[in-house]
Amino acid sequence: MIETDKDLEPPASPWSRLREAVGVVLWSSFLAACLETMLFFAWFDPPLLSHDDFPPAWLAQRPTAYAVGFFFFWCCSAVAAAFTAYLIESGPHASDVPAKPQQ
Amino acid sequence: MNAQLHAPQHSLYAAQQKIYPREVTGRFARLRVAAVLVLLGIFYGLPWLQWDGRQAVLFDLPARKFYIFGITFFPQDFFLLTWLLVIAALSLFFFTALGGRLWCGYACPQTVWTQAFVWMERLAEGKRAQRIKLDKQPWTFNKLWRKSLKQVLWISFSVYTGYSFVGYFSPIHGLAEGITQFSLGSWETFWVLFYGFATYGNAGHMREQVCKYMCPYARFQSAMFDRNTLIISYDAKRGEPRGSRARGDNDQLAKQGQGDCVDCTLCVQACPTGIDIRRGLQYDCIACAACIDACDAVMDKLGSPRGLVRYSTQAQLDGKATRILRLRIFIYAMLLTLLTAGFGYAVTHRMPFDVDVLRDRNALYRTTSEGLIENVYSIRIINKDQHPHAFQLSIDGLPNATIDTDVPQPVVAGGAVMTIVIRVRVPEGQEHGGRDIEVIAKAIDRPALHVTSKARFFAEP
Repeated sequence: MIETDKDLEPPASPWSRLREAVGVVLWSSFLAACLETMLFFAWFDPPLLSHDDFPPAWLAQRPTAYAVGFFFFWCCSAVAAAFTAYLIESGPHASDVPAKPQQ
Repeated sequence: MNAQLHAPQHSLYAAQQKIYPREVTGRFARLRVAAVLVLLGIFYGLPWLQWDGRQAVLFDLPARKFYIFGITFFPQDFFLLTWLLVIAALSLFFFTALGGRLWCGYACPQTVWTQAFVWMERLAEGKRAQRIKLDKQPWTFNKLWRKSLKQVLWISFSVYTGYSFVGYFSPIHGLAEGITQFSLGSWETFWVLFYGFATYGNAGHMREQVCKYMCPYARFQSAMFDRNTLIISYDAKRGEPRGSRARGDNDQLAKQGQGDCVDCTLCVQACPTGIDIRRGLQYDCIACAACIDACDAVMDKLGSPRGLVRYSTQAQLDGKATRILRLRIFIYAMLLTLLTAGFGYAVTHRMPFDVDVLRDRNALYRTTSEGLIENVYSIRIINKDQHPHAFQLSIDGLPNATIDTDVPQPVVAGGAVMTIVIRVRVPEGQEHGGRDIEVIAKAIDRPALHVTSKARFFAEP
C-alpha cells in the first residue's frame, strides 16, 4: 500500500473557507449571467425596449445595454448563489451528528 | 519522493503549494504542442479572415447579426445556437466515453493558454529547477528582471488575447484603427481589459486550480467513464515494489522481486496539476500524458520497455480485452449523427426571410377623411439571404383591406433588416372590435417563399 499524504493535510481555516465560497459564488453566478444575458438579449432588442423616458436613451444603446445587462444579471445571480451558499453552510448537516464514541 | 511539491490542495485560496511543472519531451508533448499551435492559430487568426468583403466570422452584437462565412444568423435563429450547444455537449460525452479526458489534456482553452503561459514563464525564468531556485532567492537584480520580463510577456499576451476576443464581436480592423488612433470605444476598451485580465488570471495564476475547483466538466466526467474508457494509468503490477537501480541491474533486481519503477518522481514533477499518477486514477488528472512522456524517457535510459505509465483502460489493467464498440458508444454516436444531420438540414433549409409586425403604440385606430378605418403597423423584414430581394406585402384575414405605404415593394439588401410603416384600411362600419390578421411578405422573385406574422386589427366597438 502506497502511503498518501492526504492525511497530513492541515485543516482549512474559516477565512479560507469564506474566500473559497466567495470564489465559487462569483464563478457560478458568472456562468449563469452569461446564459441569462444571451437568452434575454436574443429575445429583447434594447432600442425596442425603450419607451417614453425609461429606460433612458443612453441605456437603450446596444453595447451599453448588453454590458449593463450582463453585470445586472451577474449581481442578481450572485445574490442567489450567495444566499444558497449561506443556507447550505449554516444549516444542520448529517455529518454534524456526533459520532458514536469508539469502544 | 519530494512530498512538499505535491502536497494536497483543498482550498481555492488557502496558501497553495505552487506547482512548477517540469518540461517534458516526447510523443504526447509534441502532440500537445501541435494542438496548442493549431488552436491558438485559429483563435488569433480567424478574426482576420475576410469573406465577401467583410469579416468571415463576426458575432456583430451591435448590429444583432452573426456572420459565419457565407451564412448570416439573426436573433430569430437562436434555437440553432441552442441546438449547436447540445451537439457540442453530446460530442464531449461521446469523446469522453471513448477517449477519456482528451478534451482536458489537449483542447481545453484552459490547458492551451496555460501551456502558452508556461512557455513564456520558461523563457523568462528558465527550467523547473531554476524557477524553484529563483523563487527561493531574495530579490536580486537577476530575479527582478526575470520576473518583470515574465509579467511583461504575460500582460502583453493577455491584452492581445482580449483584443482578439473582442475582435469576434466588433470588426477587428476597426478595433485596430481605434487602438492606433486612441479612439477605441469605452465598452470595447473595457471588454479587452476584462477578457485580458481573465486570461492573465486563469492561465498565469489559477492554472490547475481552475480544473480542480471551477470546472464543472471535471466533476461529472467520471459519469461517462466505464471500464473500457481510455485513461492514463500506472502499471502497479509491473512497477511495484519500487526502488532505485542502475542500467544493467534489471535482471538481477527483477529476480529479487523489485518492480520497474525507480521512484525518480519525474512523473510527479511533470504533472501540471501536481498529482502522483502512481496512486491511481484521480479526478485532478487532466490526462495530459506529461507523466507518460517523462516515464518513457526514464525507461529508455534504463533499457526497460516503455509503458510503465501509459494510456490504458481499466479492463486492460485487469488483464481483459478492451471493447471499443459498446452500447454507450453506439447510443452517443447515433444521437450525435441524428442531431448533426438535423442541424445541417435546418441551417441549409432555413427560411431565408422573416417578418415581424409591431402595432403603432399611439392609437388603436383612426378614421381617415375618406371614411376608412386605419391601423398603423411597423413591419420589419429580415432578409437572411446573401442577395437582395423585393417583397410584396399583403393582408390575410381581413376582407376589403388595402395597404397604404410609402414603399410599396421594399427591396431589402442581403443580410439586412428593413423597417417600413404600413397603414391598413377597411371601409368604416365593416369591422367592430378587434380581429386577428396575418401580414404576409412574399419575395417577388421567389413567389413560392412567403413568411407571415400575426397581428391584430382594431375598429370602433
